[in-house]
Order: sequence, then C-alpha cells, then structure tokens
Amino acid sequence: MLNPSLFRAALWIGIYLLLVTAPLLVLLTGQVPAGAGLWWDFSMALGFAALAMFAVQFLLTARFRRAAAPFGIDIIYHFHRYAAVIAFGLLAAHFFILRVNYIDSLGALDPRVAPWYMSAGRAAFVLFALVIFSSLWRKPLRIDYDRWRMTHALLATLAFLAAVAHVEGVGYYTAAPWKRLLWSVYSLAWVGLIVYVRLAKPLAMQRRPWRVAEVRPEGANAWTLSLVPQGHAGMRFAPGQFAWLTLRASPLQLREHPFSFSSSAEDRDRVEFTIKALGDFTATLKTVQPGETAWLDGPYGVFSPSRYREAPGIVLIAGGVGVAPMLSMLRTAADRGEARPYTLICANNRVQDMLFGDELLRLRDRLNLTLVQVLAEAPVGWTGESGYVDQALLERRLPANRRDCEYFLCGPKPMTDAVQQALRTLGVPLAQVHFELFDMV
Amino acid sequence: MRERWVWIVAVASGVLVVLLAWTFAKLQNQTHDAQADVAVEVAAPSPPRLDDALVQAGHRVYQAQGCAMCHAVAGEGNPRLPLDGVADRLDAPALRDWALATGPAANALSARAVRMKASYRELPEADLQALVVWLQTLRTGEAAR
Repeated sequence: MLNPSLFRAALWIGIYLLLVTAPLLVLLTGQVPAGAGLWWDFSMALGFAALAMFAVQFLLTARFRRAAAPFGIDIIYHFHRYAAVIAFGLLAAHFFILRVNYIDSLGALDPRVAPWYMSAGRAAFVLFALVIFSSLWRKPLRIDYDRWRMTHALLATLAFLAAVAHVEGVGYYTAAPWKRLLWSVYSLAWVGLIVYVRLAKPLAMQRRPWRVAEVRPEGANAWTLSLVPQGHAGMRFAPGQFAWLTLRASPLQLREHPFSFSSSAEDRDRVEFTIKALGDFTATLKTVQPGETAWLDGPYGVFSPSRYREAPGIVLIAGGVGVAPMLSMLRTAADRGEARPYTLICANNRVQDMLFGDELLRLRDRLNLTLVQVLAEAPVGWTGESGYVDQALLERRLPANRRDCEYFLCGPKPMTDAVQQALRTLGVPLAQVHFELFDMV
Repeated sequence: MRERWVWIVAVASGVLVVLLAWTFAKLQNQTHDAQADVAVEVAAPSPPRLDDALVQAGHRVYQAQGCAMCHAVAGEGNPRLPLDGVADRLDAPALRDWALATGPAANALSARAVRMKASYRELPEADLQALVVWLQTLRTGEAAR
C-alpha cells in the first residue's frame, strides 16, 4: 500500500528531475550535428545541465503558497544549497574539460578582444561562484543579512542571463527552433518569477498595510509584536506558519524577515510575532513604536499540526525562542477545544531565558497539555528537568503512543540534530518529524 | 537525518545528469565519420611549392585571429570544424573563399559563419595571402606547420 505522502514526495522529486534533465533529453532525442569528439560533446552537455539546474534553483525558493508542498521549508533550503554546489560542479567540469583538452577553442581572455558570448560565459562563471561563495560563507564574511538577500537574487539573475546569452551566442544545438523555445521558456520563467516575487507581490503588499498595536516585552530579550490590519480583512494562517515582515521600509525595498506567528490562529483581530533580539534586524525591534506601519507577506510553511488532524497526539520540542510557533499551536488548540493530547518539551539555558512560563502553565487548564521545562543550568530547587533534551529525557517524558504522534521541532541546530537522532532510535518514523528552519543563512 | 536524505537526492540528481550527458556524448561519437564539410570539388591540384616564411606568417594569422575557436587542426582547437586535409579538397582560391565567406562559399556557410568571417576581409592583403598559403599545407599525410 503506497504511503500517500511518500508518493507526493516522489512526484515532486520526479518533476524536479524532469525540469533539470529536459535540455539533455531534448539533445538526446533531437537532430544534432554529428559528434565533434567524446569529451567535447560531454563538456557541452554538462554546460546545458548546469544551466538547467541553476534555472530550477529559483523555482525552488520562489515563494509559492503552502499548496501541495510535501516538503518543509528546511528541506527546500537544504536542497537549494546542495543543488547549487552540484550545479556549480557541473559548470566547472564544463569549463575544465575545455581548458584541458581544447584550450585553443576558448580564445582570448581579454573581453575587448574575445567574442562577446565567451565573455558572457566567463562572467556567468564568476557570478555563480560569487553567489555561492557569499551564501555559504555569509557569516564569516560578515555580510549583513539584508544586503546579502538583495544581492543574492540580483547576482543569480545576472549570472543566469549571462549564461543564457553565452548559450545563445555560441549557438550549438540551439539552431532548431524548439530548442530555442526550451531556453526561452526557462529564461521567461526566471524573469517572470522575478517580476512576480520582487515587484508584483511587494506592490500587492503595499495595498494591505498593518499597524503596530503593541510591542510587549516578554523578558528574556524577547518582544511580542502585535499587528492589526488597516483597511483589509487581515490574514488567516495555520498555527506554526510564518510570514515575511517588513518594518520601517517600503515593501519594494525587500527588507523582509521571516517570523513565525505566535498568536492563536483563531484570533481574527490581530496577528502576533514573538521575536528574540538575536540578529541585525531583531535588535532594532525594541525601538518599534505603536502606530508604525508594517507589511506582511504570507502565510507560508507546512510546519503545522493542522496538516495532521488524524494524529492521535502532538509532541512539540522547542529550544529558546523556537517556542514561539509552538505557542501559536497551543493557543489555537486551546481556542478550538482540541481533545487530543499535546506534549511540549521546552529547553532553555537558564531560568531567565524561559519564555511564556506562566501562560504555558495556564494553558494546561484549557488543553490536554503535558508541559516539560528543561534547563541546561538549573537553579537550586528546580523541579523540572535538567540538562538537555536527550534520549533519556525523551524516553521518560514522551507519551505512551510516541510512535504514532507527530513531532514538531524548532530550535538551535545542535539541539534539533540531537533530538532527531534520539527520536529515530526511539522508533519514531522520520516522516512524522517536522522541522522549522532556524537561522539558515 | 533529513539533511542526509536531501543530500542523497541532490547527489543522485547530479549523478543522473552526468550519466545523461555522458550518454549523449557517447551516442554522438559512435561512428567515426569525418565532419561533412560541404566542399567545392576541384580537380586535385598537385601540391605547390610553398614559401616557408609565408607559411609561418600564415600560421601566425591563424593564431592571431583566434580561428581555433571554431576550427581544429591536428586535434588542437574546436573539434566541431576540423581543417585537417582541407587542402586536399580545396585549391587556393577556394580556400580564400571559405575563409572570407565570399564566392560560392557564401551560400554554403551558415548566416552566422558568414557574419563572423566578414570581418576577416578587413585584414591586410598580405596577411590573407599568407593565411591561404598556410592553409594549403593542411594535407592529409603532411604535418601542419
């Protein structure tokens, strides 16, 4: 019996593979001039393959709504990174085969002398290298996140357009009109996506402003931002989802940051985000005043128990401010009068780092909630768990039907990695464990 | 764990792509037919005695103009359009026509090639003549100089 979610996952992977191999399949089935040599043709094919892989990269991260996505955003972004490196490897192979075997065919390096399409190809190579380098090493290179975001898409687009120009200019295998059609489709799709994500969407956002109603300190260096819609119906979201928040900038400036909703999904009047002052942008949040305008793009994400209404139990494992989406889940479940049991395992370093301690205790009156607070540095007299969320703790605290529950993890990577391993050892199927991204770039 | 699966799928995609590319290259190069140059047939001339200095000058013109970007000689350069043995098929005037996309060669070449070669007509006459002399050395059984 075929597991439906496994089937959907395989389907999406199949679509990806089709998009990435389409130019090669077209080459294999079409009329092409006789071979010029094994390594030459291999190099050309690799060039096409690299370009197709890069073309699909934008598709992976363009902001499509929840729709039929079987993969959490963490998976998409991890794949985006691996695929970028692999695509660049193919590109490098394309170039190095020519460099080693057919160096004379590359011609002059000087752009003033070289044919324009060769310079375009070299430019594409350098630009792709820049995109990948600046992304994988953003933090060590101390590139500010906002600047990185803006230049990432710009550099990638320039690289892609230069590569398409190179392919057009070289003119191999593109003579046939339907091959040209294929590349035109890729290019148009790319440009169309840019216009959609970077222009059409921000313009639509501008027409749906939000007003900051309140900025509540929650302690532990965290603030809750409360927004009310101005002149529109607001936003419906599923608990656990996130939205891109723009503050103190026009939506067109693309200075947006993703945050999970922390308010109940049943609250129609307002949406709230609980944010810890950890990075460039979040540190400015404490200065935000009621009355300021904000914009939201969302909701996004598949990290929600609402997708698993059949699950007999829900286990939430949070580290630090990762408890914010969990709060939305618990508040919503309480408002909806959900009967199924929830378990929240909440890990922090010190007691001063704990968030929503009181509210979580009160939620137990309205919800079948088992609350487990874990402190790495527990004070004297602490009655909760001490240390870290390890296998022993999970064995003690997970409900009896642990193998049938759905698990939601959100926290620092070392924690979620360890918990993931422990859950696997405890026999929880991988498909039942869901992650929210935490500090990806 | 999940990351490991993602990595596996990504690498598998890469491997699939490389395999397809290699298959394409293999299929393309199964037969060893020479490139079908559409050549103008002339009565095979007897090999002329060629001035060494002109031959070398012609070779320098070939290199300076980056002809290797589209052509290969003795395996060096772009293998799509090899020039080996071209002097067996074309005499000096025909070689010149093909180099500059003039005369009957203009109809046989693609529009793109005609555009590219048109710029060579601006070269000094001495260079063009030297180039043709060098091209005449490209006979099968005779090493290109």
